[in-house]
Amino acid sequence: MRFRDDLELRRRVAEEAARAGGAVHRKYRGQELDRTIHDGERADYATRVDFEAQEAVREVVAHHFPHERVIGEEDESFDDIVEQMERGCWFTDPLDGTQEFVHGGPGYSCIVVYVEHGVPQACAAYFDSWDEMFSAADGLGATLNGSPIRVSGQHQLAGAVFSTAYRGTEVAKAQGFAERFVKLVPHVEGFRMPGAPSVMACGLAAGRYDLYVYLSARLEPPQTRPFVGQPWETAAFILLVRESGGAVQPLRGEGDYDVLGHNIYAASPRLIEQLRAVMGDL
Amino acid sequence: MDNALNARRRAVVEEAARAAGAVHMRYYGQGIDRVTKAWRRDFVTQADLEAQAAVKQVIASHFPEDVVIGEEDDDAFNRIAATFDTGCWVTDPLDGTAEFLHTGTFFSSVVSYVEARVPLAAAIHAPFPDELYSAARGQGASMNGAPIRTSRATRLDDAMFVASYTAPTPERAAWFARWMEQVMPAVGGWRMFGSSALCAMTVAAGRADIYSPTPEPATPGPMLGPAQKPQPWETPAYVLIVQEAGGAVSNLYGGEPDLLGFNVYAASRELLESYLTLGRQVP
Repeated sequence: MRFRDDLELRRRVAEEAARAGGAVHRKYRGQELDRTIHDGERADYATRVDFEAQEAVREVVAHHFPHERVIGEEDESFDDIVEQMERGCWFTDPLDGTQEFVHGGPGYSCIVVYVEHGVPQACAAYFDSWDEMFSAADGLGATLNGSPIRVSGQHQLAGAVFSTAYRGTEVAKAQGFAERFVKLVPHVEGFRMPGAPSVMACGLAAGRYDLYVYLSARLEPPQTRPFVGQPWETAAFILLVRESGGAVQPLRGEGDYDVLGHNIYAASPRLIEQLRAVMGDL
Repeated sequence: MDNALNARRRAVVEEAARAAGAVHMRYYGQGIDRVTKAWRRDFVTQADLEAQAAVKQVIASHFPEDVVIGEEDDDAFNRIAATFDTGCWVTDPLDGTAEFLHTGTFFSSVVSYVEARVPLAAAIHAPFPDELYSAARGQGASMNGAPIRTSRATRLDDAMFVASYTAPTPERAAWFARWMEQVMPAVGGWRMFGSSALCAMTVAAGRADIYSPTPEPATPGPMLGPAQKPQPWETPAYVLIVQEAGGAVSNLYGGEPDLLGFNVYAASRELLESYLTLGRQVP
């Protein structure tokens, strides 16, 4: 583990960088959004915001740590990612919730996280529309706008609010999702799909939801990279949930968590046990 | 139609919805006990009752002669059909009770005024993150004082779809899943929030494109049926605010909006029609 001062510094840099990304989000809302939807240029619009926010994040990190690498989803090669994560690197998802953003919804954020020895060390997620800054550092707790946050502590599945996300136009995928939905809903108190992944992970850390996992997780890596997950958001989610007293488990496989894969996030370990008992193979 | 009177009513529903919101925030996150009756997953709390009292107090101070009916009143539903003709104020003092109890962010208070079966003024206050939606008939809709408009979406495959799910039985869950299998691949995005009021308001504010509540299997139509639990306390507000924001509203069969039950709320008539056509194909 790093020294406390260094972790605090990295957390502050993550916050500053996430806020810089949020400023880019703000700049592009409003009039511009109206125009791009009308002209059917959503994809271009999102790419532009993504790119500019990523540059803003990089600039802040480079100012404090000029020799450290910042890896984003738009990068071209991820071949040495395990080595990078061991040596120490920054990840960013400059616009988590692109779909939400282009549809005019409020549930999107800029995520920045530092990983070393394969362990998430410090992170921040900033929601511009709600002015909510979530951050955490390894062993130093999680905060929302500077105040400590805790998970709900819920340990009964029957009383839990479950949150998840869905994307896609394949009928088979929708059928798989619907099947798991029917299996799960009789066992939980509420079922929510509120927006971007960070809305759910940060919400869970703040006690707003009790469980967060995909019901239609990707099993095979996409062509563009050698892993199934999204470390630029996952590393931050793991740290935020653990530091707020929550439980994390890899969806499949061993270990405490999986930065490069999918995880189950919960308000308590007992919730994960009960979820697995009800759902079988997720 | 008396525009000045409706503008006054709008100011009153705004004040009343805010008063309820202030009650919510006093209770929020305090782990309050779940008092009185519980319709599975639908809790009635002390905050609910107190928020309703706050709403009634505000209305009484401006229109002391008028009738106010709240969701928590005894025999409220029996009285409401008649008073929707003669004129009355209705309130759901806390929409999204489960969300509230779980310290979520999607809960709100809903107040409206209905006369001759037409909603004339309505307000919805969401304390998180302090958003006040309101409208008066023919005078537009606003959020925190700024005009709001529905999105320009007309195509279902590009639309952000909002669904709400409250089904307490496995049979209803199974039906919901069949409907979901049909609709999910045909839309551009899928959301489910914990408050029907905020589902409707995301459409009014142009943050999502279409909202349809839980459908039902036992139905006179091919797909969508009578609501399990009528919601006359909040529905007039959704209808008015979405319409005044430029959106299209119909009942679950494409007809005139149903003030006592459930409706589909869409950014445009075109979008609404495409959804209803698709929904009718659910086996």
